[in-house]
Amino acid sequence: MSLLAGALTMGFILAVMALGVFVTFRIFGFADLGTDGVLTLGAAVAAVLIVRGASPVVATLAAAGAGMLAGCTTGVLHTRLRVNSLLSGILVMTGLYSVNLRIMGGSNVPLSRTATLADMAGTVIRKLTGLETVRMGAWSVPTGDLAALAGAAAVACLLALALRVFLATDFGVALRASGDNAQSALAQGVSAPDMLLISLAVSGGFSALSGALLAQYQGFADVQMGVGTLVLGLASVIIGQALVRTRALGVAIAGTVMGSVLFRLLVSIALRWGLDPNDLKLVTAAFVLATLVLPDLAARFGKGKGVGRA
Amino acid sequence: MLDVRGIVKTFHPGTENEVRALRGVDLLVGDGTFVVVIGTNGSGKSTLQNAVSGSVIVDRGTILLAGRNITRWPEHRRAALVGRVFQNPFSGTAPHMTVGENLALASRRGLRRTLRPNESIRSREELAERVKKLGMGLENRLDDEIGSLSGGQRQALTLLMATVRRPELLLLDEHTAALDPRAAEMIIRVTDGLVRAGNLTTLMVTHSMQQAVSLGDRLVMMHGGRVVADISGDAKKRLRPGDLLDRFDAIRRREQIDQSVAEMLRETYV
Repeated sequence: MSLLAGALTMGFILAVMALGVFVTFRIFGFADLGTDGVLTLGAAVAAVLIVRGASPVVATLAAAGAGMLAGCTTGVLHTRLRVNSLLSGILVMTGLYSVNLRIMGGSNVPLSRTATLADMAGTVIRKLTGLETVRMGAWSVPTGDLAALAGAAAVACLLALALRVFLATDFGVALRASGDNAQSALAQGVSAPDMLLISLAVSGGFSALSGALLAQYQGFADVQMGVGTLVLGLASVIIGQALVRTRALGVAIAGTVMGSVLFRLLVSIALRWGLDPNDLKLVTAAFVLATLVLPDLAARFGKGKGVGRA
Repeated sequence: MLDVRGIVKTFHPGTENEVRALRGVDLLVGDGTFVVVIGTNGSGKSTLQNAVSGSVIVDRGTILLAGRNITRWPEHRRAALVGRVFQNPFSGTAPHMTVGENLALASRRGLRRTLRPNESIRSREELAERVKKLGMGLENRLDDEIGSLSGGQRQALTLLMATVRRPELLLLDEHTAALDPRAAEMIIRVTDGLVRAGNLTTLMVTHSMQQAVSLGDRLVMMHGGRVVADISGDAKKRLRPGDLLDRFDAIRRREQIDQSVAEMLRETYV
């Protein structure tokens, strides 16, 4: 049961990052590899600030700010200096590796002896309920774990809601139009490159926030923790798409959160069944590859047999 | 008022692909005038439109619109003054957004885009009312993705989007060329209606001789990057498609003569 709570919590925390990937990838078709470095950046900034005595809330917000700055950098490289989209992400990711080491002053920062957002959430819930553990059917779960889960779910759902509202504003409509058809946006006075830049900044903020929460949940920041983040985010977005099968905005955003949580659940089940954790990234990559390629292959073979696409 | 003065544009200068698309074009279009531009392929008619819309930046000359010098303005800034409809019906609308959202996008053209709920939420009735005027029943499809509509329907909506906030200039770039004849006819009817109703200053490029004679108050013929004929008033009203063909023939003959004279001179003197 604790394992389940853990998987769900991780799912919600990474859903925040996946929401960022939703903005850049689903709206703009931009696969921002900088995400890998930005998640770690968020973790590093939050961890170092917390260790130095900053309030976890301030540290988390500062991490999100740093992430927005990093996202901006990717955006400037691509939209202003006209660097290829993948390459601008790779450059930022590579550069951030050193930046993250500098910020942390080493390859990891432990948070075991300091209060984090996860601890704060646990304290609040314990005070409210007066329980150390909660019985759920045959299992008993530490209140702290449930508090972390509730906190992560609240953050992910609130941000998903905020994103939904934002994308339906005048500004949000212009942003989506830029990703959907840059020429039509331009004809309506919207600069698609500017909108992409803003999206990358927003997405960077989400990723770094996710990293900050992740570091506080697992109790450390590590320079390697971001490896494979973008692919994970893509997996969440794609699963979400398959889950809801609609382009309706609110549903698609909710699908992304569900996709992230579901993916974490599948991962924890697979690990339980004996999947070597070292193989996890390979399996994730293969999964994303399959989802990208299979629809096209199916369509091609379907055509060959004279069967139309549904 | 649109005031184009001596604009010159050369693509790929100094290479063997050099194209002198505009060789000094002057054009003054008064407020509320509907100008139809025709010309052969490579005459510069599309480049003229692109120079005005900002998708092409001219090498020389100035472009004034509504008293402002927009020669160096980037495209998205000019859009505050210019409404555009493209040849490709897929170019003017965002296919995965709803009809309502596309119209909401257009109703903020040239205005600040804030964090207020978009117009398709805020003033839905008003939006539906505007779509209703097209007389195509699209007011019942505000929540459908534009990608699910036909080319003609999308082009009609693009027209509406280009004019929903009154533009200082409406640019129509062969906007019926990619449609089937019935849809083209419908779009021409909508175009004429919107331009007349709003008394819009309009620059329309077309391939169709029929449209060129039946639409607009003034006809500009381009060839070789220059304006070669400018017909307005009664002369424009009396114009028949045959007259235009004659003029094109005359231009072609003159060019052939030019070429043969050059040939003769070369043989004689070189």
